[in-house]
Amino acid sequence: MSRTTSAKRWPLLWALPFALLLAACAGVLGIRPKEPGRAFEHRAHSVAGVNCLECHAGVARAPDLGPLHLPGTAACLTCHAKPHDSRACSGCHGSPRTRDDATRARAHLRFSHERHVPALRGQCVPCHAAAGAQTQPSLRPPMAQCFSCHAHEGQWRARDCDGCHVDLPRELARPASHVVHEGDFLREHGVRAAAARDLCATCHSEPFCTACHGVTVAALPWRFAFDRPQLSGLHRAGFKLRHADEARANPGLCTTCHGQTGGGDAFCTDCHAAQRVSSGGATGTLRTPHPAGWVRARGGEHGRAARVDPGSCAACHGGPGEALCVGCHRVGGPGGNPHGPGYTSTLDPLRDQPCRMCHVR
Amino acid sequence: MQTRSPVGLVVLQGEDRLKPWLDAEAVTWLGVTDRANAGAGAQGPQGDVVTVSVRARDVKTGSELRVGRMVVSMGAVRPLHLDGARGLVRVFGGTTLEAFGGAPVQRGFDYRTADWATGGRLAQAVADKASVGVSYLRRGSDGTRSDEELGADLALTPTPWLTAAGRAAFDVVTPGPTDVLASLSAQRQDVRVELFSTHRSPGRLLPATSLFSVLGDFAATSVGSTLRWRAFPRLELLGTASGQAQAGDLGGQGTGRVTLALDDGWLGTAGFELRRVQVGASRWTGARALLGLPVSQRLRVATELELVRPDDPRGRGALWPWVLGAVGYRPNPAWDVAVGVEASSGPTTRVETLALARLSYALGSAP
Repeated sequence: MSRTTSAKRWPLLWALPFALLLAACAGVLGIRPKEPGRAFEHRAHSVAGVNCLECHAGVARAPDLGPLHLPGTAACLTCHAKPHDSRACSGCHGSPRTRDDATRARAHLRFSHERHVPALRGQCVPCHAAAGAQTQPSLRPPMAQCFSCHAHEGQWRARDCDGCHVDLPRELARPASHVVHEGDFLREHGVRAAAARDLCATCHSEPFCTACHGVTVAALPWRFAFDRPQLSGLHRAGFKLRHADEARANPGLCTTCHGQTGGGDAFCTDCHAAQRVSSGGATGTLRTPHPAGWVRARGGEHGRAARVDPGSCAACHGGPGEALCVGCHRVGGPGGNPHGPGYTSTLDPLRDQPCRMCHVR
Repeated sequence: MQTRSPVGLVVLQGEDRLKPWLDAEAVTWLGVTDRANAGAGAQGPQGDVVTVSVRARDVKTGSELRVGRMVVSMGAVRPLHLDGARGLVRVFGGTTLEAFGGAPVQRGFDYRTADWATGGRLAQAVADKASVGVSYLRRGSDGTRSDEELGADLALTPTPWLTAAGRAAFDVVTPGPTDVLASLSAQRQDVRVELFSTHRSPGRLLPATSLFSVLGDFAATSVGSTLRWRAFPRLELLGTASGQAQAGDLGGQGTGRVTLALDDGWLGTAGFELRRVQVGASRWTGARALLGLPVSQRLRVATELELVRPDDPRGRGALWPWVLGAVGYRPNPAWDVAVGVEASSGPTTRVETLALARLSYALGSAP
């Protein structure tokens, strides 16, 4: 009998820790019941013939800035003389999220009910359409609602955001229908910026672009945000260790930013010279960047690497004529004629570099 | 130029409240030392200007004129850091005409007399749903034409959940495509998928007077996809994979990342990432873990660890570790302090330890 009882208890003994484990996982993953409180019964009040302005008293004369006009318990008690509960009505009636949304809107937007209410002849629902719905995730009108007016449509086209938004960068607003920063936005941000740079400029000023694309930038932004590793950005973590391999895996990508001035190599040459990497020292704490067999009598790996990513070679061996290369790659030299069959060029062999290195002699 | 510390960054932005059409901004590095030339010139620490520009803007049309030092990013042609002027005119409801001209930036204002760049872009937008443009760039270096590019770009947002972007640049000096990109993204609720393809000829991106640009190069073409999924309110998964063709070799690379938020506001996060690269001579596997934790409203701690294992060490070390520990302190909205220690061992340096520190003070909020 005891064995039977014990067998019956086993599932219970397992169920308890399993339930605790599930609850813990749900807590860690942020899974929880929907927030307490329910949408305010706007529809029921409207059907009962209660005008919006009876509860939201004074909102029709509210200017750009000022307090919210959310009714308190006292306003409810003017009709509901016998409340069923002694607590504040807003504790249960109406979602806290909706109120927070209104508070944020008040802080970040310039909006005058005083000017809008008369134009709509006292009608609130044309803008606050969600008030009539059973679920009201937000009563804040979407931007599309604002654009239904010609004046605001014009403001949007001219990127005149300051007319409504107090401080757009600080608001962290990203119009979902027009600006998508999700996923690997880095890949297409250039195209987006080119297509609508003025739209980007509503939040990002010129220093934001120069932080990565500026020739005179001394350090990338993430070097300053080292205490926030969760921020994404260029060249994160140990990029310096793997930058040569990164360059080989994405040939030409480095050159799009590094190497547009000073012969295309100043950025890299500065660092490699300072680190004494380009001198090829294999003693002490330094290692040569080139593996064994890099240059052989019949070429070695460096020729293929140069064709895959000439930019990475130019980082150290650049400059007028790449003298180091021409030393071997010339007619009569061990590297032979650098021009392949059918080679043509618009450069003047007697005037332009690097042609002059050989042709002027 | 990555420079030795300490350096300082001064950011100034101003806007005239009485004339909202006029604003100015400047970013300057202080204490920058040009290490490469330190031995020869021994000029000691100096500064350099990243941005200093004044912008006049017509609020009604969005047209603007910017003068000074700026980054010019115009269509598919390569971005330029420029000392000069850039103008943008919006006409006929969606037509945009841009033009720029000036001298490409040289550090320390070290210019050659005949360096110059000019170009422009003509674009047409269709109701914020589409934008198509053609662009042109011509650049001279020391009196000689060094770069000349033609570009076309396209950006589409037909619906709020679907976006597409593409660009193509063509080198006129050494005829051929330099850089082509196409991207298509779709997002539904918590899932976002992106398909992309790129084609790039590295040699053509170098100045035409470079020997490497006349040696010829192998273009690299890649096709891939990225998937991002907010599986739970506090858990996000991201995976990206691509295949590449490079000089007849086929390869690929892939990354998987999981990020767990430690609070509903995602102020604290823990993450783990795995990456595999197998393209040509670049073959390695990497893992990265990070933790950012706000201890209080003023104090936060962070740590990050990365391990890279090359398939063929080639005498450069079998494992390249990199680790960072940092503490940030913000006693009030104006002051921000952070200190950290970074240590690594890699292909060029057996052991390297760096101390990091940041101190910033905001004089006031932006106007």
